[in-house]
Amino acid sequence: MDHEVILEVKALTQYFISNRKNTNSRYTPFLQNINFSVKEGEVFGIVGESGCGKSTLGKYIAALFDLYTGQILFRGKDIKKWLIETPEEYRSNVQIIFQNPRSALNMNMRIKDLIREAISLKIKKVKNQTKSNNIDLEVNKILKSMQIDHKSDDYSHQLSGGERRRAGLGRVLAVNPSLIIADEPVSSLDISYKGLIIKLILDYKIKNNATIIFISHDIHLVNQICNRVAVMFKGILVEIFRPQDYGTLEYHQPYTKELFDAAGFFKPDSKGFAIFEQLQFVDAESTEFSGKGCPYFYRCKMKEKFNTSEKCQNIMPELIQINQNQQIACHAIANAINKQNTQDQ
Amino acid sequence: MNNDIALSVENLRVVFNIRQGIQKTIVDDVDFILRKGEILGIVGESGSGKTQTVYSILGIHVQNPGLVKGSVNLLLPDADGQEKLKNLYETIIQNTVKIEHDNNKYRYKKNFKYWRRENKKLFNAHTIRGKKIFIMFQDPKSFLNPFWTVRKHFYKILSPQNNSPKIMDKLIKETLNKFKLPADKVADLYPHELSGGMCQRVMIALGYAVKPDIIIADEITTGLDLINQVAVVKHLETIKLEKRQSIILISHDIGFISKLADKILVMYDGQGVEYGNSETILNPQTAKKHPYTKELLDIYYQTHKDGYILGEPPRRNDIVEGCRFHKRCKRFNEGMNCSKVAPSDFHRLDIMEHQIRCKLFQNN
Repeated sequence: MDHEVILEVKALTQYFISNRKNTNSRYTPFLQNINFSVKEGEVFGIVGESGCGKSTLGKYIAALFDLYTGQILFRGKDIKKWLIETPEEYRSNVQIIFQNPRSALNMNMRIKDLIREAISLKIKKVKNQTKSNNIDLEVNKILKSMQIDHKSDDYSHQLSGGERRRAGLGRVLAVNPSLIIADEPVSSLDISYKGLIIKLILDYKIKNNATIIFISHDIHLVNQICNRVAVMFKGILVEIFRPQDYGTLEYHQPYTKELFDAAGFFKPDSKGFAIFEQLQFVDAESTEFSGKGCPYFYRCKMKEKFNTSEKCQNIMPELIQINQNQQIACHAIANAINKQNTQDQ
Repeated sequence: MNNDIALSVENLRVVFNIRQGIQKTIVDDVDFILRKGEILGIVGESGSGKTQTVYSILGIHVQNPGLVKGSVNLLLPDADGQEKLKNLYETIIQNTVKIEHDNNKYRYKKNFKYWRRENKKLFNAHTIRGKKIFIMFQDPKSFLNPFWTVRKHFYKILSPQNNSPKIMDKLIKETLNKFKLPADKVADLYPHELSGGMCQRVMIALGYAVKPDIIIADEITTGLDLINQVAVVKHLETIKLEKRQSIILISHDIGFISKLADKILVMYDGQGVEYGNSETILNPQTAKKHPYTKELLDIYYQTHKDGYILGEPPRRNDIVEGCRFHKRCKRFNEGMNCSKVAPSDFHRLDIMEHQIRCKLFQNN
């Protein structure tokens, strides 16, 4: 089964300009040289610690910011072009579920009006097909599928956290998007409630063959639902792989290992406190990052093992294809693979 | 037997005025015992009254409680120097501050002030808060004073008049290093210069340095990324291994609680529904289990059919008659009158203090 590439991000880079004088450069990068592509019908996860830039990346794809270098292609066409030629079509094809549903919903509108507003955008897309009579039916259909039809006349502040999330989700799904960017859709929800939101998103995905970019810091969840996952660290992608393969693959970027081992710690069948020895804890030193070289340099153990300290400190690693399904950005691993290849020859 | 109890809470009840004339018991009949050096985990959804339970141990409700009842017994030294369990609420119950809801706003405010003042006086708050019982709040950045450096926090909390500055500096360095914080750098930083994980570790270091009898950790891992969560577990483990302090852990994450707790209390809508040793509660094969605990565990072990508990979680203003879980319960039985009559007190199943609040197990 060969899927079509729906989204392609090429060398996306953006900097903050800082006024501090004692730093090496005035430019503080928060996204650096980001390359990946998402196939149609895929669930693509982006994980990383807080502040690594995963939400920002999502907002760039949803075309909420337009200042950057590099390219973002949706269905083979640059999104800058989409926005000039047919902005409405792009907006109804690509939708973002925001992290905080409280601020994403207009508090002066009733829930049914919020969803009606979203549907009217869809009607603009296919003109003259749906008449105003049918809108009510469609609003009710969405309210029912989100299980909030008893709250249709309420305002957003009258709903509970979970209901508010579902209202936000209903607004997104009402437009019939083909690419959904889910920015932490279940953070700060109770365990007993998380599953419902995930089920609603996945049901829509299967029904409409939609593509989902799933941004989260919950690694159990990503393991369960994602086909491929990208690990982000301080504004660069360090690894892209299939989460089901974790544990069977030969190489992993050291940060990926740290993150996934930490996730395994809280599982019922974990190895327990033995994991602690593999983990290094973040200290003040590692929070400094000059913008040059590998951002993981200070915490990395691999550099001494493979004698690549100098390279790691000065040159930013790029993603290298290792398997069919795995890409890693690490000098030490690239070195190890090169060595192996020369030995084979 | 009684000597190793550090804190016992019996029949704790907190009532809030939620709307005009309508009252809700936010915490209803909660009992637990905390032994010395033991860790108690309190699990529950948001709004299940975990935090309010702990706040009423210290008497630090943010809102005006209509009624606080029950007994909180803490191990306190007598005049002779012997340690004895003393009821913190003894005096309060006698003067139970009953605040009827009043349309007159002025009186309402005055009543709250009165409650706070009485509470302070009767409670001997200054001898307990921060000395006997140390609480770590949910958001580490709002817990630390933004105008103080980390060093000043230690100075303020440790009453340095007994120690020379040299000894204090040594002590600060030792405790910070113990929790993997580089002391020479961190000690002179302000809270806004620290990351969330470091703030949390400073907080744990403060709690360790004060050497209280009881540490309360209120959802300290929410909002931290995974690697920092594991670090927090490790540092609490170092405190646990010394067996001097007892800890109350509050979280909605069973994975986090299961790594540390000796005893677990499961709460639902203000009531404790199950209490017992962590092995019996976490073991999915245990035969007698409250339906709510069972569903939570199924989600945790990923054996749940739907992946979520059907129905809505209880909201603040809802008042449910009968058993509070009956609307979402899978083993709901009309014949037992679950929807009308609430199950009576905690039912003790065996000698191991395993208790369940459910009609299914009460008749046997």
